[in-house]
Amino acid sequence: MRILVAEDDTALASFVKKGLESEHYAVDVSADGEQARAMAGELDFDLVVLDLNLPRLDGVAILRFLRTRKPSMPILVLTGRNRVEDRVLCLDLGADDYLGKPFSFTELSARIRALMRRSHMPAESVLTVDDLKLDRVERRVERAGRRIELTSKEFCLLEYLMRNAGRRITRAMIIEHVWNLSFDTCTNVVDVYVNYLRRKVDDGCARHLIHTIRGVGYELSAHSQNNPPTAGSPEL
Amino acid sequence: MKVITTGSPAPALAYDSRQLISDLFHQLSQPVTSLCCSLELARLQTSTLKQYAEIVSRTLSEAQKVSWLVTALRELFNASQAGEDCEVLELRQAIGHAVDDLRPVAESAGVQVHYLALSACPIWFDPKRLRQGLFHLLGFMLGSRGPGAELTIALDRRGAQSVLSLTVSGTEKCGDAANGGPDPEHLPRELLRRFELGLARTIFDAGGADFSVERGPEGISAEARFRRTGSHRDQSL
Repeated sequence: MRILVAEDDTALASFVKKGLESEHYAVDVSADGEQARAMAGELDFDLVVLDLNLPRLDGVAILRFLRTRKPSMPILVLTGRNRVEDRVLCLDLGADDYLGKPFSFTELSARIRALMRRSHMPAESVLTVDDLKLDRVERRVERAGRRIELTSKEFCLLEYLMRNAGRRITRAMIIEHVWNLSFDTCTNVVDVYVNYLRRKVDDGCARHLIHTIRGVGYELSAHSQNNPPTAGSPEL
Repeated sequence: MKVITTGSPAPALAYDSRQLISDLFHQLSQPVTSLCCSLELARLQTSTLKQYAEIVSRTLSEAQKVSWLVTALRELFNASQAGEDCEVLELRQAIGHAVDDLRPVAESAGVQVHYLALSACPIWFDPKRLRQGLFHLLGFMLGSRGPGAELTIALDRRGAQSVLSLTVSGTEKCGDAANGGPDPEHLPRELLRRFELGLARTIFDAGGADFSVERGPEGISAEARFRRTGSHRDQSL
């Protein structure tokens, strides 16, 4: 999950970034309104945490812009303006949630999870695809009741694939959302990790969940040409 | 920026940003021309469904190549901009993370990685840029040698600098097919390797580090010297 934090208070931004990274989100920070608008408009974020008081372009203008360009992107507004009319203005302009400063990181984190849950991407703490189960909070993965040990990066990759179950995911999307890098040149890091993951998740199972989509990338799904849907298998 | 090349001429390491950009543009002209020609022809001819499917498939493949090259040029431009969020970072930890991230890649390529960090090495750098630079540098080193090679990474403090040294020894990969990584849109491997190194170098240069690469008979060595602290001007930003 990739989050943009638009906040000009560098100490606060650093604290939020470190906290969210410790929860395994990929985080980018912008302290400048113009830059934040460009990043949020051009790059692919799953959520934006937006301070209203940014230099060069304020958060309200960014909010207006994003609601036109990316109407479904979850936006959580952070601000020191705690008056009711300020909150109403933000929500009317299209913010999905509002958190006044000072705030606790635990609350921010919970609100982000709630927003993700409400947005198109499932963000519940336990993800399930077929007999594969991933618990974000416990950092635990099981397939048909069998515990699977994953490295931190393998866990992030599996989570991303599971959140997008049934969708075709390109290598570029994976490198961006899981590694928080904009570009992979000629390392085969994504393919290597997917192969490692496949061995741990699919080996020994009759039904394979991780599929290579030729010329595109990968898809995690219980349904494929080799895995025809069975009665009672969940729709993805 | 300095490039030291020893031993036999090493075209894969010769780095000139203008030459690299020129080569990328040259590569870009090929699919654009191909796209224009095939679409012009398609408009002139009456195609069967099968021919139409072939045209679409070829067009998509060329468009993907254009997309990759345009992204590459944008990345190179972005890399040349100094990072805006510099802070004091622990290089030992950053390299540890990068090595952990790429260890499976090294294993799949049959390259052994040795990482030796004797002491803490604080540096002044943008964390995201550092991560990108290390990823591309390690990617380049791992992609340069074949199975059985050894990559040694060492960290040291010298005066006001933290010094990162990498040496990869072993048999050099040759030819386009010998490189284990993916082949983005069938571009020449040599260009991709130069691009990977070029990105790393550009990021380190833009961040104020001194970067050098040397190729000898035994292998490739790279060294990046980072400032341990920012100037007053940097720190006030």
